Amino acid sequence: MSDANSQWNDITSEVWDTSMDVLNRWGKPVLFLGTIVWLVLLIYWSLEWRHWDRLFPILIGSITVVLVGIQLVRTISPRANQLMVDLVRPDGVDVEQPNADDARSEVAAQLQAAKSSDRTEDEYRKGALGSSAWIVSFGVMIYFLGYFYAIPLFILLFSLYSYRDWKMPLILTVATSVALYLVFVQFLNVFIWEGVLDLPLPGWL
Amino acid sequence: MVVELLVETFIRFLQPTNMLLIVVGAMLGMFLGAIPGIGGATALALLIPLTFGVDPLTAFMFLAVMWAGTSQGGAIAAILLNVPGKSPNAASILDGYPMTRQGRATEALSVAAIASAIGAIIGLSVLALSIPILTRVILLFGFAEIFWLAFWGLTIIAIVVKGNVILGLISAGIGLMIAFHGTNPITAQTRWTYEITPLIDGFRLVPVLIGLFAVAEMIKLSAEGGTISDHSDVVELAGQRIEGFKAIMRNKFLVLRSSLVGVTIGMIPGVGGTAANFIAYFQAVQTSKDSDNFGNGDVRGLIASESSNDAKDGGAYIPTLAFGVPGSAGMAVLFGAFILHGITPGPQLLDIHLDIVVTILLAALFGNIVTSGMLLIFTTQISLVTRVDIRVIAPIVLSVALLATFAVRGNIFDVYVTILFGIIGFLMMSINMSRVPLILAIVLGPIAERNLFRSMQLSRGELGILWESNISKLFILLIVLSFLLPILMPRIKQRIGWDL
Repeated sequence: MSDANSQWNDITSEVWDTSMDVLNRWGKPVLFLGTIVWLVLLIYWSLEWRHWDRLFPILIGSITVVLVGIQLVRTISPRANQLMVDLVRPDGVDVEQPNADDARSEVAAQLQAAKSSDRTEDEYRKGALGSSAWIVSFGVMIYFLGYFYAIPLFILLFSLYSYRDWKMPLILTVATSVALYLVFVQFLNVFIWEGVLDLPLPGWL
Repeated sequence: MVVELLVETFIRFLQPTNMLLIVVGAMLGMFLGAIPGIGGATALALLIPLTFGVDPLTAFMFLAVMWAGTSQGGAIAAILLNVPGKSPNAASILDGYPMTRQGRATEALSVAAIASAIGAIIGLSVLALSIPILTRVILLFGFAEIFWLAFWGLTIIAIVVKGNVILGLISAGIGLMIAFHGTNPITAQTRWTYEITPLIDGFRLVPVLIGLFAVAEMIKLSAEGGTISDHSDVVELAGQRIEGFKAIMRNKFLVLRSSLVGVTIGMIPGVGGTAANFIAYFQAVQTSKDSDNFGNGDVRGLIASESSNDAKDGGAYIPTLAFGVPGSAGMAVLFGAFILHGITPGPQLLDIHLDIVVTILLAALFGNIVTSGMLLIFTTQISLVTRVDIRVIAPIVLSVALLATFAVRGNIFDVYVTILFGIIGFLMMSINMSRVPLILAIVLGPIAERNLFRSMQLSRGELGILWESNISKLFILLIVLSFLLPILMPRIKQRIGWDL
């Protein structure tokens, strides 16, 4: 239990945030590099503003660029990473990545086990990309078709893709669409986006 | 005045419509909290838009009850499946699940229900008792003090949230840069709108919250696939409820001690419920003469974990409501609900909207009692929700998320903001970057900037106003400590050989 005692700090907050690595070898550096480019552009655009408007954006933006830069170097250079760990944690425990001791600790092991999935890292990556694509497609459907058509269509297609069977997707589509219609349209009386195609709605809606 | 409001609110809660809402909110909270991976913050983010158009008192009553229900739901998953429904239930798996394996699941759930209810009562009592003191303290806060308070909230949260200084600060930095988008309310200068008209108002908090929590979690859970219960040995319910009552009676001082640990840790912004949970657990281990059985189904471990978990909410409401500094992801989401209803949490809240504070207090109390009762009575039925398939949950949550986002102000742009932040949130999770500093930066950044500008206007550009008062000096000291502690603590621990 003493091992577990020393590790509680590493597993506090957002236990669920430790997932399989969805980004491949170059994914993280590209992500950090992209963030730096975005931040530099923001800083550049803010140069023309008045003093009080640009003060915080330039200050915070510059500090964040430096921090992302450090993280980028840590990601691509294991030596730089170790140097940073030694500097911040003299006990050699890298707070970012659970080390072997973490994995051995009772608490961390139990939580890792709880979070584990049967999927391999590659399957997980494909699953994440697929889910993101589904969500973006849902957004596109909403824009063109409106909520009245997009929601049943999305639920039906998504669950057909997941179940490869008609029964459950049909029940889920009808039940969810009716429940959402009753809550948002009938009960809350909110305006619902009807899509840029402005498709005709059934008279009873 | 507070007592009068308490009585008035209590009578209002007894109205049939409100009683129904309390039961529905508690059930919904338990249901969502019991689904591993959803978490209280996600559940709260999803339901906030539903309260739009409802009067604030009813809205906050519903949300507070729902929030209380998620804690109880989280305990169900932790005890029955060895998977904490939400992070602050994590320590409950250490002894809760072994109890289930020993055929004592009903006893464990009874212990969780009673310990949670007592913890919540203690936590909320601390909140209630602190209101009269807080109403005097907040009068000492001017623009400069609020600026330092918000700044301190930013530093402490970015550093403490996961012990990872760099990623925590990057998350907060990006959050601040996102917060600067839109029109500066003091100078009317538009900043980084990319020629997108809705961005003149900046990124709205609710779409960002729903994206970062609900949508991001759905991407993650869908990627993992299957059902959570597929990965766990689900044990049939067995054991006696009465044993749970007896265990609580035998360990009443442990309940009190753990609740006080929970409420104290809960008051510190950024430390979070999981830390309170583990600290309470380890204090139970360290203060027990016979600690060998901890981790093997010792009921004291579960009592410590669950009583601290619900007590910490009472503490966490204090900085959120009184000072406008949300101490956790859930509180940051609740902060979003305030903004949606046109109310700004912070020093003015206790003065102008004390009725809402009292409503939240009583609703949280009712919520905990109702959910504890339901957990005791419907243990078997409630446990079934832990077996819900993610393939069923994902399309429903996504539909609700994107519809609710639009419903808030009828702007399709918000739907795309939600999707964008869903993907950003998922990427953050995949590199172990906490989303909490980002959200808090979006909340606190504009407060800090606005109050700095106002201080400068008040003093006609004289910087001395920023460190004139003792409260400002205190916050400056706290900020310095926030930066130094993560670096110094490991060295101090190493030198004195302090474990924990």
